[in-house]
Amino acid sequence: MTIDSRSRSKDDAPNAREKARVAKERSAEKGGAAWYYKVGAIAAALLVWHLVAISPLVQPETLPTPLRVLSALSDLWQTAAYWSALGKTISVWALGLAVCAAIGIPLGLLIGASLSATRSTSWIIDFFRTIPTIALLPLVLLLYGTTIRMEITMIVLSAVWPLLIQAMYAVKQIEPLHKWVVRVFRLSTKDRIRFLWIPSISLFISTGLRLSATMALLMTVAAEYIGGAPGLGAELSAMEQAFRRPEVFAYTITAGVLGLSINSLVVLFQRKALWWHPIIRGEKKA
Amino acid sequence: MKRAKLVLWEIWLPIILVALWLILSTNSVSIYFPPLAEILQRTWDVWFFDGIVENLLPSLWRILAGLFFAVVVGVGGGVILGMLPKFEESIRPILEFLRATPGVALLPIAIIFLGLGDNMKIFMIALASMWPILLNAIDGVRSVEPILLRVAETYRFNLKDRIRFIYLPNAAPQIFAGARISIAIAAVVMVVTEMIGSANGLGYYILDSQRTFNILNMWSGIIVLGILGYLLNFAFRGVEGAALSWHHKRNG
Repeated sequence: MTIDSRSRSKDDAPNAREKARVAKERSAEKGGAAWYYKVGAIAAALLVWHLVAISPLVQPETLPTPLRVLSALSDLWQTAAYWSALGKTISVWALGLAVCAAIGIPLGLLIGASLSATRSTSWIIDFFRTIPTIALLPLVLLLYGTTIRMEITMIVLSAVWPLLIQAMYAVKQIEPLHKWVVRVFRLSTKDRIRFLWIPSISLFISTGLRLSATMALLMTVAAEYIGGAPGLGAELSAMEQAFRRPEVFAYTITAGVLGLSINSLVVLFQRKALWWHPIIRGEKKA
Repeated sequence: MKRAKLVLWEIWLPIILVALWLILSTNSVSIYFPPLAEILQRTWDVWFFDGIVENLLPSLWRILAGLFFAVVVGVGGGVILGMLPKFEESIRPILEFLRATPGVALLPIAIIFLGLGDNMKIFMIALASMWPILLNAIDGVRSVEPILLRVAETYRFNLKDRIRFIYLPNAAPQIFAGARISIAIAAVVMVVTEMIGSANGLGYYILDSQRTFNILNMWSGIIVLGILGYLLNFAFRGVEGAALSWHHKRNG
């Protein structure tokens, strides 16, 4: 089986490289859109927003113009409430994600390493992954109130699964051949971890991290918005109830920028830390 | 025989856990964790069949309608954007921004324009769950073998045939992978929108039961929602298996 998979991958390698080359050339000839196209698209979108906002299509004051939102945003930047809400959301998110990683990665590696453990837990993991755990929010609210503990519990309940599942897959896809080589050369445990385990599982873990990070942010904002824990979600809810529309848009944009930054940070980390990986280098298809 | 053994492997732990919950909670006096037997009894009383009509069907309608629009806009938009690489790359930053915004943060804006009714809920479900389908459809269309496109050119395929026989089949596996993520997102958004200003639905029922300290009802709602989520995924797998059988056959 190993020999078969090896010969297949040998045949595949030039093919895959060829494919990557074609894709690269194609995107070069058709032109990865230049930056001014992107800026132009954003400007056009803002212009359409502005025109719709001042047109009689919408009632005045329902849709603030981009300029009005920008001035609301810069006013908010002067307030302590804005920064403390942003700080709270980020720190709760980071803490929640750290707890998810501390639970999900080791547990996933352990379960993935054993076939009987995988089989025994597959149904449970499948079940909890598919049900919307946000339904437990009322219960967790009763138990812990609007505390950080409530938020962390909600984050872990919903965002631990991608990490756990990716860690399980990571163990399973380690090349048997590599394991044999490690055994034949009698590598020490330290070297085994350094040269076999970490390189083999890191890509899968980082993918799990990206999925979990997005889910954790969604849960943080949801727990704040519905549960009332302090943070961006709570501010959003307060502004909405006070009919301060420009501030609502300003907070939504803040949440969007936060989500975008988190996403690009994880992708950047993946590129920097895993630059050697064939899939990241685009030599091999995932 | 072999199959039965596998099923046994998969269900022994869940059965033991449920049995443990059942036994350990029998004499539970905690208000938050009532005995499981009582929860199940209440679930039966409340949900079969009044609760299903009153709260489950509205939820089901919203999530299915939302997913329907997500698929239509996601696949349609994905195919169009996939065929217009330059335009797609120009508006990519805007798409990325909208996608990265946590769905809940868009809720107040949706409420401003659409109110609290079903329109807003379906719109939010569709919007939040559209992104995985849209982005995967773009990638799927983009990754078509250049040779296939040349073949299509040689045979003078018109646009409709190119979409029907080349772009869609090539993108289908990826679209389904995205749709699986979409279902999970749609369920979360459904519950969240129902927890805010709603008169029916599962999310409303669970939160309302909690606010009136009707803990047994709350638990029964959680259980029904869990079953709904699981069944949705189960049904999706059936659809995926039927739609992609040619793909699985080819790739063994």
